[in-house]
Amino acid sequence: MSYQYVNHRLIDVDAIQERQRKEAEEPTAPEYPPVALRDVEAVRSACLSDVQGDRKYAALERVLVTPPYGGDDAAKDRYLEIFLEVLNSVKSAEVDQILSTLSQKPASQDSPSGVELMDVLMKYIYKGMGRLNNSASNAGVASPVSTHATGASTMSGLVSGMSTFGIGNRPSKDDSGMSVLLGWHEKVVNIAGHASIIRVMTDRRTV
Amino acid sequence: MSSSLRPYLTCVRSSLTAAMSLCDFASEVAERHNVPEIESGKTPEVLLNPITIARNEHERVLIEPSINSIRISIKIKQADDNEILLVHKFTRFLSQRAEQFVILRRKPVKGYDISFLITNFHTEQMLKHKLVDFIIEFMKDVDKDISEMKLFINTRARFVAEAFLTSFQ
Repeated sequence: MSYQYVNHRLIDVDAIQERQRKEAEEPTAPEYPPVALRDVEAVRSACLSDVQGDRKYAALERVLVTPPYGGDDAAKDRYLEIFLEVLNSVKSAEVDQILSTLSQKPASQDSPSGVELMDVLMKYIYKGMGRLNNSASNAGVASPVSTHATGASTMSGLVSGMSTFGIGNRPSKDDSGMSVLLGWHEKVVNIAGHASIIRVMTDRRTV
Repeated sequence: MSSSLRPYLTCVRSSLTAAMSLCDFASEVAERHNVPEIESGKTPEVLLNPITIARNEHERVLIEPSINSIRISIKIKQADDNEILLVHKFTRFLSQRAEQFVILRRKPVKGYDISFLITNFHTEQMLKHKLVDFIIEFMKDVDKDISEMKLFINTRARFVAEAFLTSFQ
């Protein structure tokens, strides 16, 4: 077959091309050890005793120091529930005091500085607001805390967590706790600035 | 403004301001192309974590940032069938004229009513804080417009029904 009969439209130019671009790879987060649900429950009981002893700041710091970066979805969802319980136990008048203490916390041997903890706080605030995307269908179902092995129904965990603590800002029924998160968000931005939001978007270590 | 709307809009405003840090970024897949990375999605390392801001179950904003473009999707409050229809017609009307609105996306992201796509070229041509203001204003006005239209429909329906039924008196 002479050259003029070759249908040039059928030639696969990509195959001829020598240097092909490597397949795009998913960016990977730094490796973290896996987190078991048991560890999460340990944090929860510690936080619970902190809140009941009216040590709100200690509870918040405890929950922010050990985010389960390496955990699976169940552990992460369960951790979010703990976080929401702690946030809801804080009265809105105390938020400013707690945040200013947190922002001035220096880094120590076993915990990062207050600025980094604020970033973790911001991550959880956004995750708390985003949870309706996934769990809108089972939002209305209230179940006892002990059945939360799967972490599937985040909302019910929030509601039941509220009843175990029995104090703080009870969110009104229709906004499902969003006003509390929005209030925290505004105050965190006032202290930590927009950079904190940018770090939430760029950090591959998701909570 | 209602008490829960203000913190919601403040949150959207600060998140948008933070997300709108865009720069020019030529495509790494096709030579001499420059596409919004959030739309092409072929270079995963330049896509950032999407964030959601919710006022309640029915009203939320999704911000999907990337290196040279952000996509903002808004879910508008829809309390009843009337409002669902109105929001659908209203957003369709706007989306069909997306060219005139420059930053409007022709098709909303799944699960949301209307989407905006802002690229680095928009932030270069227009003032960044004005773009943020525009989105916030839009969110403020759209609720007002929808409820006004709903009232108008009810008034007109009542008037029509009365006019129709007088002939049977």
